[in-house]
Amino acid sequence: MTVGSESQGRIIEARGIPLPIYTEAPVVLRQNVHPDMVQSPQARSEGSHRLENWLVFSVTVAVYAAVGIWLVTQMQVVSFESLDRLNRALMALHNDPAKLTAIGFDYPPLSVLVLTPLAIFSDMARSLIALPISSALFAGIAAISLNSLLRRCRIPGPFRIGVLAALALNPLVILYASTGSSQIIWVSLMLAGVSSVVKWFVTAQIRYILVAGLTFSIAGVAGYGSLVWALLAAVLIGVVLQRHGARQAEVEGTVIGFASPVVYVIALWTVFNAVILGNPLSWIKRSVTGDERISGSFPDRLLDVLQDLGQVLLATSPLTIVVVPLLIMAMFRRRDEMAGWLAVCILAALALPAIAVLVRSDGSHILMRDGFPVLVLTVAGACWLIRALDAGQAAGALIVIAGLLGSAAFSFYKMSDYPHQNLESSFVEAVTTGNSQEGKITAAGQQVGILSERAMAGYIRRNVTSNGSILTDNSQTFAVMLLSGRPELFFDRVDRGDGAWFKAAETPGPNVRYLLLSRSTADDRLSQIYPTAATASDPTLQAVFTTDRYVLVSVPDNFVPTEEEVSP
Amino acid sequence: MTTTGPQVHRGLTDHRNPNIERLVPEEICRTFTVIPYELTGNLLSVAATSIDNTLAAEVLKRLTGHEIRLAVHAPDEIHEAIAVAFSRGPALLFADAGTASATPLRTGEFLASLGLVTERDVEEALVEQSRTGAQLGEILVASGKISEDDLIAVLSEKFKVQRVSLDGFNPDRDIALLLPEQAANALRCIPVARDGDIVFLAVSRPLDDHEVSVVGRYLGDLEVRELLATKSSIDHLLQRVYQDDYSQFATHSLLELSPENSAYVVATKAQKTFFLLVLLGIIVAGVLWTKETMIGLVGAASVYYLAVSLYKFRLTFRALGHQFETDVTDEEVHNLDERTLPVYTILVPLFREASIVNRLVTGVNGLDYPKTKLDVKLLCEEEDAETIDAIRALGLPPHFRLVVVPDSQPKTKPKACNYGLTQAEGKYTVIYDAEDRPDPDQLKKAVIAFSKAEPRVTCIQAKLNYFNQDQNLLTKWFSSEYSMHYDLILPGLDGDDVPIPLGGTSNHFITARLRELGAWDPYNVTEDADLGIRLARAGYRTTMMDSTTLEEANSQLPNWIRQRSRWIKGYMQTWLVHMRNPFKTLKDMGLKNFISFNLIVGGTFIFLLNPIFWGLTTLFALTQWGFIESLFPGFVFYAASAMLFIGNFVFVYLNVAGSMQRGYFELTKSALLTPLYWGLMSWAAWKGFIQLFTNPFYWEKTEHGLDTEHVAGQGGTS
Repeated sequence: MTVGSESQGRIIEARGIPLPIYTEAPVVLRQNVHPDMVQSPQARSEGSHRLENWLVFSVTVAVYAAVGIWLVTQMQVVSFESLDRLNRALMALHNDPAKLTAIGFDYPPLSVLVLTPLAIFSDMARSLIALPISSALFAGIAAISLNSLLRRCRIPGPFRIGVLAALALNPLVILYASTGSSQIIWVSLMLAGVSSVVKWFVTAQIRYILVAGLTFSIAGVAGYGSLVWALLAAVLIGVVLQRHGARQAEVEGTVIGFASPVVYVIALWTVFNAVILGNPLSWIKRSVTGDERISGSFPDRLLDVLQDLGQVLLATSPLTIVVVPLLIMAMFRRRDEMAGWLAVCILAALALPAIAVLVRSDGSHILMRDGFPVLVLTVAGACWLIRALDAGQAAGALIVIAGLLGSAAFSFYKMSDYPHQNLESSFVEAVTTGNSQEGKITAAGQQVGILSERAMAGYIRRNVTSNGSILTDNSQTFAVMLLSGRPELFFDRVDRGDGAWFKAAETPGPNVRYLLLSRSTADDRLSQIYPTAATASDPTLQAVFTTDRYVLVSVPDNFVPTEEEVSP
Repeated sequence: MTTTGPQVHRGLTDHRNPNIERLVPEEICRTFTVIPYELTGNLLSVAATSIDNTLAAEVLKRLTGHEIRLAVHAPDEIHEAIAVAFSRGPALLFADAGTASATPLRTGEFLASLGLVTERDVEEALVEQSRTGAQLGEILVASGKISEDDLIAVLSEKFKVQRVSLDGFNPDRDIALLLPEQAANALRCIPVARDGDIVFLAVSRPLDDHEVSVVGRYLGDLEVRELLATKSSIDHLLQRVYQDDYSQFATHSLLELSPENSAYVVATKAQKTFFLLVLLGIIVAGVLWTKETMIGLVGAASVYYLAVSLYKFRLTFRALGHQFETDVTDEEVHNLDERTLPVYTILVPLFREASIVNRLVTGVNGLDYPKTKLDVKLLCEEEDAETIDAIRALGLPPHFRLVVVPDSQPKTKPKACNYGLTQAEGKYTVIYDAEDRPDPDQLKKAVIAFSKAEPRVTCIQAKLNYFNQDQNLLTKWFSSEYSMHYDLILPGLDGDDVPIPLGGTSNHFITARLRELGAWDPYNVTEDADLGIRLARAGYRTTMMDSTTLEEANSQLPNWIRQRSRWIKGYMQTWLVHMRNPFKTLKDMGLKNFISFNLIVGGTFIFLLNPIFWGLTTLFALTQWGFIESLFPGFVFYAASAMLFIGNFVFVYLNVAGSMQRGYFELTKSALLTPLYWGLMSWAAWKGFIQLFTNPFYWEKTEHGLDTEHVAGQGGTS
């Protein structure tokens, strides 16, 4: 199929519209623009959906933020990983000196950077409401992206809201969208990228390629796994353009246009890793390596992983079991590239955590949260299937809504007892009982709560005033630092780098007045140097305040560590 | 030269052609006993009693403009022929559209019978006449089928008005000034002689009653006798007579109308004092508090840089998602009634561009607009004899007018344009450069866009891009930048309804408002950008139109540096002009426009900052010098880091985006290397900045036609 636009007696004939099945409007070719483009250069305003988008965004943010503030501050359903990220954001702004390196390399950088605006006011960070607000904002972005995608899938307005609501009520979604989890950040950005690719596919407008490229690049530094979907999108773009007769230059240029931001962020992050950590691929290594390797044959481990996968899939997104085969059928029967691509995206979402667990080989398992991206992509896939229906989009949407509601109920049930999880069971208990989870044990056997950290932070706020006077290993005492709201009081490993910190740890007397130690010596480097002080039993380093998890000891001016302490 | 041929004794009653017979007035025929009977090419055969009658031959030549061949006939035979020829009442030699008494067929037959045109020419002209409503004769002249002299001869015969040749005529200025310039220009007529109470007025066509009354208003009791002359010769005469006035307007119109908006003075005394005080303050603070002062400067520069970058990013990102340009569909263009189209003036400033005059004429003739409604002014500097000669040699139809701009300072493009504007006949005026290739229907689109626009829209800017984008790396970068600028940033400004600094060409104006504003500032080397700001200050608006003009991208680095340094110098000039009284500008524009102006036009200064920041970054990377680190505390560091790692890439990517939007996919790879291009821009910026002090009005001429080898290499024509 071709389009022609007649002007001045000459016919400009496109070699082909990229998407003969799905293109919503004819490609408009301009004079003085390359005449054989298969994509449309024209940005067309297709009606204003600003109000609808703002409504969806505002309601989502308001609801999740409100629920999140209740969960985090009243129910104490908050993960230490979230506290660590928030503390890094706080340190990046308020440490003495303020350093961007506080962001560190333990997490994808954007998962920390997005928290920095919310940490401008340290009290906001200390109160922890920055966490639910941040995740609610990204949930809002995800809601807009999904709503836009549903619109592209021709699902009528009320049913769009129905689908959105059914997904938003899923307990997994509520948990991740309201408690400051890093999952929601990269999943929302990944969904925005997928939505842009779908828009490009149905409109052939180049601007969506650009938006998709930017979105995937940002998603890539929020969650490294997003890069896999970026790669899949690049392949899709190339294949679709080739199939529809685009010039080689157009195929290359479009793929470069899409991929360049993604490549840039990878390159930049790799350079940072090389310069600061000495290993350019450190970020990949940290993502796929575990603490200790366990023995066992590969087939056994594979079997375990597949079992995990099956359980997670059932517990989080049973709809996937129906949607993926239908997408694959659509790909073959209708030559529908987008259906095939979405199926591959969903399968990739399933395969990635499985591969990571297999590669790590440290006895870890696929967690419930790994099913979250699968769930979101499955909804996108289901909507695409609805779009392909000649009629009855409303009925199709109703089926999806029913499926999502059933899935939500089943997930709520499974969250209570599925063994490989974070705070899912605590969330269920908090919601069903309305009781604080402080001190409770999760289904995975972890203790919930930050009472110990709050107490220590409170003491420090009341009694310590000098900047840099508390030497501490921030990788273990981050929660105390965060809850104190005054990272400048601490001499941490970020302030002047590890070298200066270890030197101060060996001779704390002239450098600091206190040591803040974890009671556990497993990971705290300072506790490893001063193990007796960590148990509050050192006669020289006298404890001035202790909690269940931490000890604050004072350092005499003339303190000289023992030989064992210097070389633990 | 008059010729006499062998005697021809053909009977005058055979194959009579009344149209030829009456090429000469009856009185003349009777006085000299002659009658024309045949026209072959430019040779008019005339029956006479003697071939030695040179006086008669000379008179006939002057009257008809044709070469004369006398053929001997019997006096009786000639008298009889005269009697028959002039016994049928007035001849209808020329048919006006809509004139009930005229029939196109007869006109066509007449012209064909004269051998001036073929029947097919007439048919085509009639088709165009029915479409455009223009006069048949003008259509034929515009299409080059007949000359202006032919047309005048025909008009002269039709209206029984004496015609006159103004070639070599030396006008009497006092007589010419009997009619004010405005009226003379509007009516395309000029008094050429006076005999007592009789004024002889050269006209390009007989005046109608209204026009006669207008002339009468100025000439009072004086009697007017019209003399027909070619439009070109009247134009030429008008230019000679009013040269000084035009020149005065071109150079001083803005200076007289609103001197505060003229870049005649680079910086006012108040501005100089202010900048000197700031400089002094910085030096004093630098001596007393060196580090703090430097932190303050770095901080201020970083914040300014960040603000400019964020604003441009916002504009471009919004433009990616919307179509802010006025969209005129092919259907609207197709449905346009050409009879309603207004006269459109095209100003084409030329300087030492003889080599591309042919290309220019081809380009203008390629425009889809009735030629009879085009008023193309080819503006040449007096000293540029080569280009003037090249244009004259082409013998262009009268919708092309050669306008010679008298030699005076400043010798700039805006002055030439102002000079051309003084004589513009069009309701709308557009500027094209000589090498421009506008979309063929751009003028029609502009007319439609004006009809759709809100009343305060005074200018519609078409998009610019390059046809030789793939010539070399420099043209690729240049094209990517233009794609971003014209396809994203300017539409973004349009969407925000804030001032648009106009591009150099393809800006379409309502002529009257352009004059009212004082036209272009001849002392500003980016007069276009300045005019865009002045339009906004006057409460008018500029919008974008989705139509493109392709230009020649500068392909040689020294030439590019010259051009870019002029642009940047001009932006600085413009910023200085409109910041002479910031409060007045703020009041005129409103806060939103004022901020936008300072970020877009004032944003030019970031090109000066780039090398400083790059230098600091490189020095720190190489030496880890603690002093540099100390200049970037806290938020200054984050602003600078955001610019370094995110801002730079975003701008690279927007170049990629612009190229893709434009369909220049080949440019995406080179667009990724644009940071190198920014280096060149900073080089040009410093050159322009220094020149602002040393030679502020110097116009760095851009050489065109550098794509020839490239085009030849491609086996095409440029």
